[in-house]
Amino acid sequence: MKNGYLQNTERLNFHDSATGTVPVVGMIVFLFTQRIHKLKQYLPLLLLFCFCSLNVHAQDNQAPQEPVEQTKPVAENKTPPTEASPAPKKKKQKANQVKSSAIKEEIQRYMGYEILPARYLSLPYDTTMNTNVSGSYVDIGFLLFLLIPIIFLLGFWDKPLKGSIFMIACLFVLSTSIKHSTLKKANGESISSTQVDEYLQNTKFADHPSGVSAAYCYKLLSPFSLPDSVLKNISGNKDHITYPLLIGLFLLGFWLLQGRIQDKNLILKVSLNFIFGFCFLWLILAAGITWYGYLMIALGSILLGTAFHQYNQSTNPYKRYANYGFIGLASFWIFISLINRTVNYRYDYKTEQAAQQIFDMAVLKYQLGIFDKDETINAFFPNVVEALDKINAEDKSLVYRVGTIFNYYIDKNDRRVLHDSQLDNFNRLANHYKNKNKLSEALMASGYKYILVDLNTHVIDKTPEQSLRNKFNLFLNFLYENPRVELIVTNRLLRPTGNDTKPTQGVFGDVQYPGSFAIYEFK
Amino acid sequence: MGKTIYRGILLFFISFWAIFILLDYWQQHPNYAQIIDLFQYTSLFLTLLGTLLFSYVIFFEVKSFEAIAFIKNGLGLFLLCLFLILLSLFFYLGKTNTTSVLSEGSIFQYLSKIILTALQIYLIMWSAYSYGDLLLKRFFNWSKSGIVVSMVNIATGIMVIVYLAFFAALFNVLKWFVILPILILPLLLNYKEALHFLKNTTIQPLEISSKFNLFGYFSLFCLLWLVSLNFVQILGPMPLGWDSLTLYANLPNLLYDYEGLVKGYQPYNWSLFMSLGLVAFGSTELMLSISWLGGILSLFILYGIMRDYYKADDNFIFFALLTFYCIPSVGLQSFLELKVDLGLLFALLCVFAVFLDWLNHENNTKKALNKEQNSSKGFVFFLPKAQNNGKYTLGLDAHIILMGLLSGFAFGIKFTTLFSFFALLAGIWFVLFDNKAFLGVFLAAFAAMLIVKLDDFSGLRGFHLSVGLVQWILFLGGVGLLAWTVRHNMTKAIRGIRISFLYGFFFFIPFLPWATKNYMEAKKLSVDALLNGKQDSPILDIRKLDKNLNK
Repeated sequence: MKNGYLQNTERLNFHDSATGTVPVVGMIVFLFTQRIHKLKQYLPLLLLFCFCSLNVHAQDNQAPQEPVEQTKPVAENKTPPTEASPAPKKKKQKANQVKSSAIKEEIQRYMGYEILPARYLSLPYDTTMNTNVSGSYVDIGFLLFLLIPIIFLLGFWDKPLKGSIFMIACLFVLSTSIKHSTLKKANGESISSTQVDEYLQNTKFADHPSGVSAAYCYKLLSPFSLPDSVLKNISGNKDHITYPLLIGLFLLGFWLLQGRIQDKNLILKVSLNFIFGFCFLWLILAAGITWYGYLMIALGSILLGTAFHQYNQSTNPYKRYANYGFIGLASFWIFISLINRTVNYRYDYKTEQAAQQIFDMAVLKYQLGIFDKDETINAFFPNVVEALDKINAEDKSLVYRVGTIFNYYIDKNDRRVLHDSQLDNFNRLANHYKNKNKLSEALMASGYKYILVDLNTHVIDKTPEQSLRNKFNLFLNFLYENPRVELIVTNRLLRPTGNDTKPTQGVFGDVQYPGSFAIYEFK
Repeated sequence: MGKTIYRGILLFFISFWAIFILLDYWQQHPNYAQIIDLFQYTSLFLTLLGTLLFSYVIFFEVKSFEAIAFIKNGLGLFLLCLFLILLSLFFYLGKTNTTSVLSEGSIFQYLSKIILTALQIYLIMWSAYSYGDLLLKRFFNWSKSGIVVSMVNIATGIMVIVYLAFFAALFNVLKWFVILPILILPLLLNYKEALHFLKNTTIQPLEISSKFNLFGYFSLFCLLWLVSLNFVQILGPMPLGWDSLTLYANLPNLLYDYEGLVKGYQPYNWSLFMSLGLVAFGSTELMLSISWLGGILSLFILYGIMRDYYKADDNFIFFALLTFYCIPSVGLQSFLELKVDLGLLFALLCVFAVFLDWLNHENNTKKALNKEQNSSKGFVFFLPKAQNNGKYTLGLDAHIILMGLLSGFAFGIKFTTLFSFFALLAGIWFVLFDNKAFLGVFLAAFAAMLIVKLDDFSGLRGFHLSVGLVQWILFLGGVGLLAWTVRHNMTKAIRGIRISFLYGFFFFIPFLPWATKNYMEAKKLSVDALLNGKQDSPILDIRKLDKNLNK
């Protein structure tokens, strides 16, 4: 496959590109209609068109991508019972196949796992669109990413050189970003943005208007990105060029920024330079974690407000009209956010009942004096209080914790609880102790008495090699039919079997309700 | 002609960008479309809208209702918040058919819980303000009074309270009879200003700009609704978010249990602050409210920055604040994931505000010196003892010292403070010189971050094969650019170095107690040991496991 890829890129030929020649010729004719000394102002536009034409052809020649192999989830909520409640695969897994890296699984998932330069360049887009990790806790809205480039660009109304360079940079970053984005189908499933054509064939505009419109924009933007073949030749998962490239872009951005703010007062100049510097450090060092950048989000918001205020007083009619648009967009954002707030954010599954939950009923009952503390906890995690009481009956035994939120409820948890959410420790143990009995005995001999398991541990795994999912499989395999451990409590429900009519608590079997946690005791 | 075409392209690009980002965001976040379909609170929204319009007319339009001005104050806003909470509650219970849970007694209990927690949190703020005012008034000569100054006072006061609590915890006396006097003491020592604060925030009529209109009031009203909803939702017996349960609310819980410091972990200033809710009042609700408080204080300081430094009008200020507070990630940290990031944001915004004030005074002092005047007052230390030759002024160093201390405090909340520390350092040089100096310092600082391997914290360093070379090129380039920029004004350059040193020195002061604690735990002098200490948590050592197994 790789050879095929190289052969195709070798065929890349600028002069053969009829589609590319047209805009270039057009652009040259346009440039010659201008006075010679103004030529340099339009140079970036020429470069842009050259680049597009080069890329259109490069894309024509690209080999089709191999589909990424998807690993089935271990315990996913909606899969059929046999997969949902793993009697885990019995075949022996070679532990050394499980490449462990807690940082890679836990932290770098916010950044994504695409080719290295794209990983950084796409961060502003990814952080806005939540393409790597989704959920309200990483959702920062669209306003900043949408409006800041526009406001920046409006300042180049009379500066074609800088304006053109800025537009090219934006297109480059955006097209690089969408390459690893996804398109949502009407049923909520995601497909890779590289499958735009397939998406457009299978999705009607009426079914998903925003998705189809975005897909057309993806197609339109695709010529502006660097071809994968070029990127793969100079980069990969590790490279020499990403830092120099990012620093180069920082310098370009800094130069553009100085041009944009030269007529501003000192306070705005300093503020914008400060924010620009902060953003760069966040981009390089924060691995895309949203809340590390709250300062830039907060200051970005008030600078937007300041821009609204200034444009509102502007004598330039374009700016005033633009301002109506900005305020309209911001109002739309506020409107959908307020509606979103009424669902309490936390409910990922959207149902009529979930949409009613401005408040949490259990907490409300506590506030009204109907529930006490234990009843409130049990309302969120059925029967867990009894199990926690058992764990807290004495404070010497150790607890092995794989995820879950029960740390808070365990006395002296900083001394008793071993955290192994990414299962790196377990992986080492599994390598060393070849069978589950021996491993259980070793843990018991060292004082471990309880195991807390988050049954959704694997769902955060976004690594291409699915390392966390594999480790979690291994861990479930350890728990499955292990004579040395006993389930105390879980909120997973299994379908009734035999003469039973009620679902039973259990982890392995025919799952009726997937649940989120299980607590085991060594015996 | 060329310009027209360029502008046409520019307008096309802007339109395309706006439409594409909006569409893409919409298709990437199907939850918004779903929730609009499932939205069931139209009647609540209409009632809120009615309340908004009615209150606007009463407050601002009908002159004959001027008598009602007695509730246009802090207490009035609090009552409005209570009303909004009750309104939302009734609609919620009606929608979920659970009105049966209400009784006279339960409503009383509900309201008393809200009011009691609000009073407790007010007491902590009152105390923090009094500490801050006491300290800063002693060393600073304030001429401004306003929201920024109040917020900086509160931030400084929080810092003082946290370090007093730290020392109490160090000696295992983190108990209510130690913490309550710490909270009450400044109210007695600084009773005049404390009473002034009390009056200003409760019964003193709010200063409302004549330009304030329905647009601004709408934003303020929505903000109040969100703030109230968030507040009432955290008044439970335990936190509900993942990170708060596993770390940020867990630490205060452990501090309360041990009545002393918890071994290991990165410095936890804000968690220590949160623990006061448990220690002083035995209230989990208050502990969680202190996390929520970070967001509210951030809104206040953002308001102050926009009004005092960016000169925006109140309508757009509240609108901008609403766009910020509507962000789900921020909202979630205000009522579910009760962490320390909003507290950190508040501390960093205070640092930024002090920096802007320093910049203002730097400018004013330059102007004053040019006019041979030496009387500029303001947010300055011992008044500016500026010398006529334009050399170093003692007065303005106070800003730098305060910036350093607050930054150091923020560093004790989270290490990501370093991003703003280095960006501010470059900002100082921008003010003293120009953008080239900014660039030089920034590049050198960034290189220094790479040299000390800060990019290893997130595990990203390993991806960059050229980092060893890049860091030194950047460092030399940055230093070279700085030297080239400042070569003609060595006096100013020395002042810049002095200020940078001061900022850095006072940045480390608040970290020293933590570094000492960590050293005592780890008994090592490595960077890792000083930053993280040594936890008491179990360690899985396979050799030990084997040994125990074979016993």
